[in-house]
Amino acid sequence: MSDVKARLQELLPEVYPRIYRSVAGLTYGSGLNAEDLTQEVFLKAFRNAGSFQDESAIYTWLYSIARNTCHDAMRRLKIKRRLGLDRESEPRTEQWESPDDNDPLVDREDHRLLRQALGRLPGKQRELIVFKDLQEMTYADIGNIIGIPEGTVKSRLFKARLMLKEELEKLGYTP
Amino acid sequence: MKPSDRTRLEIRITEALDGALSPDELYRLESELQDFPDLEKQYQQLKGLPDTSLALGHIEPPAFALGRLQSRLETEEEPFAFATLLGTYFRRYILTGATVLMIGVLSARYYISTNTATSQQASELLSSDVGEQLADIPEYQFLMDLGTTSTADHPEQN
Repeated sequence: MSDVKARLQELLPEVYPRIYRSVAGLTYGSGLNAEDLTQEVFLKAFRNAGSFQDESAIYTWLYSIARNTCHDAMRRLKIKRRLGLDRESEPRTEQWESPDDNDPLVDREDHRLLRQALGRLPGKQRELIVFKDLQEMTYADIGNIIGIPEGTVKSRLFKARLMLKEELEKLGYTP
Repeated sequence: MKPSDRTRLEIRITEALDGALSPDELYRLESELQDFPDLEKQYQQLKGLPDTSLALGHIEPPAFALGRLQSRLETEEEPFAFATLLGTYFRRYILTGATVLMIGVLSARYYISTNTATSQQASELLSSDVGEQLADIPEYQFLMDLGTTSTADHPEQN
């Protein structure tokens, strides 16, 4: 087994939930199965481990694979729906319940509205919110994954958050 | 205001919301924003957004997920495993082959059924009046004799 594969195996328990959450955020409301897509991300990573050199950027590399995998899946789904071939994965706005949903101390309504608002954002804005606000990645890492400069990440993030706020208001959220 | 100035302030607002500005930088930003009420209003609205990390932060993958991935990876580790070869690398070739085979079988069935119909039609033709008229044609008689002779010359074929 190569060094990169061994490192991936070692990181798997820690990184798997993080990639899963990203995938879930990027595809929320689409009807796509986040679990299947996450498995696909890691299978791709292991298959292409030989071409990966810079071990320090292993997280960024995995997030890039996750982003591309989600984009491809969303594109395929859009085509299927246009052709009327997809009858199973109808668009949904409530895809899962978090453990906190059973906790009366946590404001569940806020979570539900946030997820719904996130699901309504276009892909380009949504990925910025997912990577920065949910995954707490640095601007530089987001720029590397998306392929844009740091300054552009920040200005787009400003617009993405404004869009999220507008969607929240449409859903009836009041601060 | 020039677009570059607006973009610069948007960038500063993002940094402020993410806690990346020092108190001095924050004070300077808020002073600048007083001249631009629209941006100032948006800044205040964004400050009132709920914590986005709460929306998905506690979502966990299913308990079986890692085990499932491990077993799939073990299959991947055996590059010449029959299932891997079939399922991963040759899926499209298998599908193409199966389609070609199906078309072949259907074509053969059609050809056989068409030929059978022709033979039936031929025997009907020979036993009809037209068949009797054919027997009067010397070339037809010659061909019939030729067939009988060749069979007689090689009795083992019978």
